[in-house]
Amino acid sequence: MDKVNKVLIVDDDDQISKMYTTHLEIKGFQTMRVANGEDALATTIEFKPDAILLDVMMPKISGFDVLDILKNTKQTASIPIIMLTALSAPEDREKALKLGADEYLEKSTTDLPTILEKINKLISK
Amino acid sequence: MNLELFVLLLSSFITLTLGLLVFSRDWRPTTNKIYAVLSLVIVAWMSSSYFTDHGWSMSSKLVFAKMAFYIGFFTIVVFYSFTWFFPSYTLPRLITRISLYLTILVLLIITFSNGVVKSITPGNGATIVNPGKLYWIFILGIVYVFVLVLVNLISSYKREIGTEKNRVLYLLIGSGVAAAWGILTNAILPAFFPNWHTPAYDSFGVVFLTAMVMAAIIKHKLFDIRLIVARSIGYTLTLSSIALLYIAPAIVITGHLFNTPLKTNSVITLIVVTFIAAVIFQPIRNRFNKISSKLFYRDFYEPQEVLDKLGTLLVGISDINKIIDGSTDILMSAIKPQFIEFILINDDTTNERKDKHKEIISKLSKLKFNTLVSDELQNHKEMYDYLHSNNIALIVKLRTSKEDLGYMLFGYKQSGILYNSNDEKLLGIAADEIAITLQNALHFREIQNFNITLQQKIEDATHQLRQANTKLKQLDETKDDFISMASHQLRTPLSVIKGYVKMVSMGDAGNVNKQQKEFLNQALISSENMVRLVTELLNVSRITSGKFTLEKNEVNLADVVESEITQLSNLAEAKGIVLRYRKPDDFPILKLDEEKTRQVIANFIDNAIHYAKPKNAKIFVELSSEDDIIFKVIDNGIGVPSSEKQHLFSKFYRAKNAKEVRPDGTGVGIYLAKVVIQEQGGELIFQSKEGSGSTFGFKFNKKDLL
Repeated sequence: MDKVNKVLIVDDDDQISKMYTTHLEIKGFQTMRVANGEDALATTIEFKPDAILLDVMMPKISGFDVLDILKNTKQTASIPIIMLTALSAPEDREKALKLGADEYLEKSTTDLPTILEKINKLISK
Repeated sequence: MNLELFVLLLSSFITLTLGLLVFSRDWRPTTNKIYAVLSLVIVAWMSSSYFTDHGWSMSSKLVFAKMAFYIGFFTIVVFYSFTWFFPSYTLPRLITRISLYLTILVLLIITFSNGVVKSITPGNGATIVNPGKLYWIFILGIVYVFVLVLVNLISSYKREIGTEKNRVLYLLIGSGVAAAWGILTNAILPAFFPNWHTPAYDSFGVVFLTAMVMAAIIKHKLFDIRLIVARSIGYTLTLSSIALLYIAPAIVITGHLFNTPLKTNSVITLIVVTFIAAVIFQPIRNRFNKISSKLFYRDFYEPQEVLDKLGTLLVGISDINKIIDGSTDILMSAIKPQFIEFILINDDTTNERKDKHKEIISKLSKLKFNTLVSDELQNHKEMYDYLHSNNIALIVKLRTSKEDLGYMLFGYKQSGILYNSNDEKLLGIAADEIAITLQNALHFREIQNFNITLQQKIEDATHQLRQANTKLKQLDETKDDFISMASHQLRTPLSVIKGYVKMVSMGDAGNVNKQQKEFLNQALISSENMVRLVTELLNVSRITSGKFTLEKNEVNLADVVESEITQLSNLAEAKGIVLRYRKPDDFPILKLDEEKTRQVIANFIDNAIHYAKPKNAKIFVELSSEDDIIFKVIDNGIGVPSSEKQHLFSKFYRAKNAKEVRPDGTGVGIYLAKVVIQEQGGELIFQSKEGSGSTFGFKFNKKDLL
C-alpha cells in the first residue's frame, strides 16, 4: 500500500479549510486542520504532516510568524509549507519566500487541482 | 542839501535797504551774497558820481570821475556774475570767462590812465567830463559785458519753466529798463540838451534794476507783473496823497502863521520824512500791537496761528488718540485752560471720562449748542452745579453735518480770565476741524476693524474648508478601505464555491454525466468571472490608494491569449459569435505582469463578445511581434459614439449604448487596462465607429520587454 501522505491545514476560515480537507481526503490524503497559529506548532509536532497548507492572514499569530517558527524548529524545519493567501500582495510573496516558504499561492486564482499538484511535487522531493 | 544829494541819499537808502532785506532773509545762498555786493557797488557808483560834481578838489574830482566810470562798468560785471547763480547755477564757458577777466583788466588800465577820461572841466554846478581817445573801447567793454548779461538771461528764460521763468523775467525787465534808461540819459538826452548832466540820473535806472532783482529773489510764488505794477501805483498814490495832504497845509499854514515860507530844502526834507513815515507806519503798528498784547493781555494768542498749527497737525493724522492728544496740546498752549477733556460718544477711546460724566452727557445731548459757557447756565441749575463742581468752564460740541461726535470740556483758564466771544469763535472753528478729522479717523478705524473681521472670517472659512477637505480625504480612504475589505471578503466564499463546483465536476463526489458536467462548468465560469470582477474592483481601489504594483514575470503572451480564448469560447459560442485567432509561432518571452496583462486581454475579448451585434458577429484576435508587440481585438459590434470616446477610459465610465446592451457593467475594465498597459510602458490601441465596430488593443516596444 502506498504511504498515506498527511497534510496539515492551518486556516482560520472554516469554509476554506473544510473544502481543502474534503478534496484532499477524496484524493487519498490524511488531513488535519487547525484554526490558529498557536495550535499549529503543537499539532505539527504531534501529527507529523508531510506538507502544510498555511494561511497568511490569521488573528493573533500571523501565518508569517508560524512559518518562521516552523522553519526554525529542528523537528519541523524540513516539512514543506505552502502559503495560501486571500490577498494579492506581491511584497508578501517575497517575504514568505525569504522566510522559507516552499510555495506561495493565491487562494482565489489557484484552483484545487493546482494545489494538489503542488503538494504532490513538494512531497515527492 | 541840494537835489542831487537828496537823490543820492534816497537811492542809496533804497538800494542798501533792498540789499539788507535780501541778505537778512537768508545770507547763505551765493545769489544773496552777490546781491549784497551789488548793492554796495551801486552805492559806491552813485557816490562816485556825486563826488565827481561835489568833490573837494579838482584832482579828487578827476579821480572820482574815473571811479564813476569804472565802477559803473563794474556794476554790470557784478550783475553778470549774479546771473551765473540765478536762477540756477550755470557757469559760462571758460573762454567767455577769460574774455571777461581780460575786459575787466583792460578797462581798469585804460580808465585809470587817461585813456577814458582825459580831463575834467568845471561846469555849471557840475563837472564836465572830457572823454579820452580810448573812450570808445570803454563803451565797447560795457556793451560787451551787457550783451553777455542779456544772452545769459535770455537763455535762462528759455531754459527755465514756471516760477523760475518768472524770476528771470524780472531780471530781464530790470535790465531792459536800466539799459533803456542808461541809453536815454547817456545818449539821447545829452544830444537834445547839451547841459544834460548824466551821472546823477543814471542811478534811477539802476535802482529800478535793483528792485527787480530783489523781487526776483524774494518772490517765490508766481506773481503777475501787472499786479505788482497796480499795487505799486496804488501804494505810490496813497503815499503821495498823504504827503500832499500833509505838505500842502504845512506850507500854507507856516507861510501864513509864521510869515516865513518854507525853504525848498525843508520842503524836500518834509516830503522825504512823510514818505518814510507812511511806509513804515503799518509794519511798526503791527509790531507794537504784538508786543503790547503780549504784555497786557496775559492770555493773548494769535487765533490764526492756532488754527494754522491745528490744521497742519490734523492733516496728517488718522489715529484717534493722536488727534485728541495733539489738539489738546495746541489748544492748551494757546488758551491755557486748566484742563481739556475729550468725550466721544460712539467710541471707546474716552470711555473712562464718559462714565465719569455719564449723567451730564445725556442731558447735553438734548441741548442744542455749539459752545456752552457754564457760567451762563444759571437757568439750568442742575447742570450749572454739576459743571461748577467739576470745574468745567466751557463745553464745545464736536459735530459734523451728519452727526454729533462728542464734546470738548474746558477747565477755567489758568489766568483766571473768563472765556470771551473770540475764544468761543476760535474754539468753534477748531472744534469743527477736529470733528471732521475725528470722523475720518473713526471711519478709518471702522474700515480697519472690518478688514480684521473680514480676514478673520476668511481664515475661519479656510479652516473650515481644510477640515472639510480632510474629512473628504478620510472618506475617500474609508471608501477605498471598504472596497478593499469587501473585495477580500468576497473572494474567499467565491473560492469555496469554485472549489466545490470543481470537485463535483471532476467526479470527486461521484460520477457526473456530460450534461451535469456542462452545467457545472457554466457555474464555474460564472464564478470565475465574479472573482475576476472582484479582483478588478480591488485593483481599482488599489490604484487610487497608491498600493497598485506590477510584477515582472516571464510571460508568453501567445499562450496567455490562447488560454483566455479557450476560456471564453464557450461564452462566444453560446451567443453565436465566431472567435478567430491565429496563434503566432515563435512569440518571444516578455517581461510583463502576467496576471494583470492576462486580465487586460480577457477584458478586451470579453467586451467584444458582450457588445457584439446580435447577428453576424465576428471577432478577430491578433497578436504579432514583427516590429512592436501588438495585441488587437477587432469586432463589428455596437462601437463607441465619438462624443464618449475621450471619457471611455475613465474610472467607472460607461457609454450610453453600452449601458443599454449590458446594464450590469462596472466601467472598470478598460480603466484598469489603461493603467496596466501604460504603467508597463505600453500604448493603448483604440479605434471605433458607432454602429460599425471597434478595435481595442495595446502596443509595446519590443526592446522594453525583452
